[in-house]
Amino acid sequence: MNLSPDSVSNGLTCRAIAPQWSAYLDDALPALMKLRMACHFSTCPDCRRYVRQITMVRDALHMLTKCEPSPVQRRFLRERFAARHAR
Amino acid sequence: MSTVAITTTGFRGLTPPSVDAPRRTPTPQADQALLSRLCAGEEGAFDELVNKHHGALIRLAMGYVADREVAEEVVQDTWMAVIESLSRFEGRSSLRTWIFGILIHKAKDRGIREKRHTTFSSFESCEDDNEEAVDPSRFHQSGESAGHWAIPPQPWDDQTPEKLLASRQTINAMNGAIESLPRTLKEVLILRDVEGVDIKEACALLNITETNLYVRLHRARERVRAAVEALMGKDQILTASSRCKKSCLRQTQG
Repeated sequence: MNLSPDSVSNGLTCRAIAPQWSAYLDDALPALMKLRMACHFSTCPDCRRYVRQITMVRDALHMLTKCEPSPVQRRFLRERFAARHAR
Repeated sequence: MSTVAITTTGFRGLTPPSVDAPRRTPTPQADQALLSRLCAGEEGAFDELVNKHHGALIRLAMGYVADREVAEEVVQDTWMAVIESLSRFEGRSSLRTWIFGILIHKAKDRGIREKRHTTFSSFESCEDDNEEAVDPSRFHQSGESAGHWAIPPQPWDDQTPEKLLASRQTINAMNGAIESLPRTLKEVLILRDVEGVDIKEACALLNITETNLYVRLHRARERVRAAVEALMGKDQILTASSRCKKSCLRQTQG
């Protein structure tokens, strides 16, 4: 059966589905909704750009440099760990 | 009009590209190996654990308490509790989830105590559940295009995460956006995107439903995206303005 993406995503607006892209990306939506959003995605260049940017933010966040404990804190924690295991 | 074929496996060719987040949840085997080293008293294993989670614990704690100094104390208390109770850890959740659970408990306690002694609520989280993730003014309000983008996302998607993070300004914009998130959004973003905690574990830690988690997660991501977009937009204006200045200078000199 052949259907146009427009007919499947009928009624969906960019505004209505914008908050749902994170759930979509995790495959956490009901199958029908996922299908309708996929169809909208295929026909809407602005939403494609939006999803690419959200995906990029998600991936960049995981790569952000993490702050580390100060040398003093680190030494303190190490000593407490060693002391706990010496008991 | 283009058509797509519906197959038993769904629509072909319509899945957004690179949608899968890299797997970040440690496998039970990796967790078990680390736990064995910790229980054997291996200091290197403890260092590894601290390096891996310290930053996210600080960020998370800052959602509950007033300042960085107090957040540092809460995280130190958390590590002390981890050291003391490691031998009693039963493995019912991942090691990471267990540590984050301890932190949330301690940070909430400390936050409540602080509020009792604070007359102002500068660190109070206020998040309107009805607020839309994306600024409604960016969509057409009426007519045939109602609900579709009126001000679409500005183009910066030629970037990669690595390129984004190569710029100090972008890192500052992202960090600034994270810091200014209300606690309910910040904790979800840190657990899921910064730490890569599994959805079910994050829901259990925060005691919220999956639907609620995704609402918050998307709002938080959108605020970080908007901060990057604002910065990129400014860069584009600056680039255009400097191009214009150079061209005017050439004309004057010519």
